[in-house]
Amino acid sequence: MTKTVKRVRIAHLYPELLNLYGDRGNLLALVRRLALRGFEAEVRRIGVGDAFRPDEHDLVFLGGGQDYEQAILMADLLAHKAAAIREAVEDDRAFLCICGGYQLMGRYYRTAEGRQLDFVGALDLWTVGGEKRLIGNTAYRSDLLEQAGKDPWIVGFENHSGRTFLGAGVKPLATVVRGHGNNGDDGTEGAAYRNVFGTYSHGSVLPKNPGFADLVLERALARRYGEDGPLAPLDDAYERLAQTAALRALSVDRSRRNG
Amino acid sequence: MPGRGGIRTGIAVAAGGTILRGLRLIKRGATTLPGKVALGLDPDLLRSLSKDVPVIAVTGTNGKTTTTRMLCAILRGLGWSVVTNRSGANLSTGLATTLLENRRRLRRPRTAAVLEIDEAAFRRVAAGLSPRVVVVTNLFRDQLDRYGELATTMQFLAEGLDACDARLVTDADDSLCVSLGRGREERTLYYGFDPAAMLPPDAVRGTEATHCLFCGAHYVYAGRTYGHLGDFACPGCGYRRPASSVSCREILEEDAHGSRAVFVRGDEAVEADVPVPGRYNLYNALAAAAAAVAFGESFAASVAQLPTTDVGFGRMELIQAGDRRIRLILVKNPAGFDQAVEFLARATDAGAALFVLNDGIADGTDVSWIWDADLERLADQGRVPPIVGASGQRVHDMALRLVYAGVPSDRLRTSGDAYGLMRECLAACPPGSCLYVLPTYTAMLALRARLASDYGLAGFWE
Ligand SMILES: [Zn+2]
Repeated sequence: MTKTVKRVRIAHLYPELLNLYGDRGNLLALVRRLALRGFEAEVRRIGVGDAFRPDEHDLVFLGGGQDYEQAILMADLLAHKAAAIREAVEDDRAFLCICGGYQLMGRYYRTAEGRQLDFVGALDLWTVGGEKRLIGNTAYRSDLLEQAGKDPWIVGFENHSGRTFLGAGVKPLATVVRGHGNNGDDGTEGAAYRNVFGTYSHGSVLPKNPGFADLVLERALARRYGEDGPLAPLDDAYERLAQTAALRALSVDRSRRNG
Repeated sequence: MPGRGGIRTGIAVAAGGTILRGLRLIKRGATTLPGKVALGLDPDLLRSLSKDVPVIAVTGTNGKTTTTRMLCAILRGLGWSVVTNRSGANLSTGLATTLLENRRRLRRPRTAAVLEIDEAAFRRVAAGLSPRVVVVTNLFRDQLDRYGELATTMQFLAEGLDACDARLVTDADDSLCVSLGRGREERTLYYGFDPAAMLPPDAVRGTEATHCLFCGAHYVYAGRTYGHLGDFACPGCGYRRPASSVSCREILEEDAHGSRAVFVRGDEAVEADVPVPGRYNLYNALAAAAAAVAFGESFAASVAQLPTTDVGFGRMELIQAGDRRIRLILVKNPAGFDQAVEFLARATDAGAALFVLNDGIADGTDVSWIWDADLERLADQGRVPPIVGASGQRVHDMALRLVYAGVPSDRLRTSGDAYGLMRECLAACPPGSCLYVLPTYTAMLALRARLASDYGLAGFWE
């Protein structure tokens, strides 16, 4: 009997404008980890002027962008895609949103001068402009990952001036152990809501944190094929070495909750 | 003797000079400390030291060092005595050290200073140095953790340009650079590839600066060269590639040692022999030739001096190591990494390759940029060298990147000891072949120092 290859349709939103700081690595990770398990990944680039239909994608990826690049896509996003994105979120499609893309999913952005810009409004969170950029290597620990049976650590690098605050409708993705996280103040990092995950850990967050990558993929596969078991484990030896080295460089003891 | 700065400058110069001699005696590369001390005593030191000296400043994200080297070769060949900061000490402290060290030479006739300057430092030193010509090579994403965004870097450069009345020499093919020429047309000289010599627009993967800086519309390209460089035009507001005064009309020959091309200025066409390989070095050669023209030298005579360029240490530097060779290619951002990998993919003599990733301030503390470079092309083109090494402070990030790029684990060697791994890779290279080493900045300095003592190369401060 021939086995039909299962496909996963990934939408890369605004690939030319939201592609800062190694975002390409996240897509490479998603595609690679699907391929190693026999799935076929199809990445569709959806830019300014392209239609975004919520029912055509199993996983949506939004990366980070520079301010002037983000300004270019705002009109298109709000007029032509925001409603469809909200629909996809409520329909349990999986999303991975990084840095600027994470902020865009929230309700609004308030500049340091007090001007308020409406964002997509798919997640109950908002961002306020700050003076000093929050920059540096990070280690976050996620109960959500732990509850899903994954390695709870997320290591990476953050670089943002916006401070994000979570409303009652979303949960934090993780707790800050090293770095600043959402706002440098309340110890939360990122957000999780239905099958949407947002984080400030930019670039290459998925290659080094395969547990996080698999959680996102499992949510996408569950929605598409009704498979709710964990994905088959992979040989993540190089991944694990990179993650462990990052934790060690930050003097984090992976066996302790607060590092 | 002390110039306008008076006694203060005199004290600063004396203090800096003393430190300089002390450090030289104990054989340390004194590239910034003397300047730092002297600047602390006299903040206006650069102005006094460079008074009456014609200065050419070279800034931009990629190619500063090579362009500076080429420009030095051109001017020396044309009879100038040239003072330059050879070591890449390109912040105000390094500039002050260079000028201090050469303060007597600078007073001799027909002496010029060709200075490589960091993009952010330029803003603060432009008024004091009052350069006659400023070259902005290009603007690629580079170490964004330092300045936040490219828009900030462009703002720094614009402030520096407004603080002096230099002629601006910049790349017509770079939409970000051209925005610096906007409103400064009367003092700007553009260089670039002749659009007819560019590649078809879909032959190049350009992921930066895809949309118009002024109106946000998506640029349309009639041709491209690499990265976001090409014959761009905005359909929204009409912003487009300006005509270039100095252009590359045709590439006649390219190999591992360099390129031969036809450079034109107006109706004058000359053959350029560029002694460093890679397409981006053709841009550096155009930048150097255009800068010499803006400085008042003859176009043809300037181009004729290019073959005498002594390539910057670590920039495509070729080192003979017994019956094998080592090629050092500095990498520091996705665009440069892409070009280096492209060069490696085309090499026919690669016995091994070694990638060394550090994350110091000078390397960029954020290493995620390695994911933006197209390392996949090595495996896609069947050009993965027999041995591939990963090392540096971020050895495991580099190794993981190479695994993703399709390097089979039986060819991969990893070690935190970069020099040891370099020796191991070199030993694994068949005689007659070449070890390609692609290090980030601080990794390059450390490896270059060991190679210098192994093979009797000149120290980088010499
Ligand atoms: Zn425009």
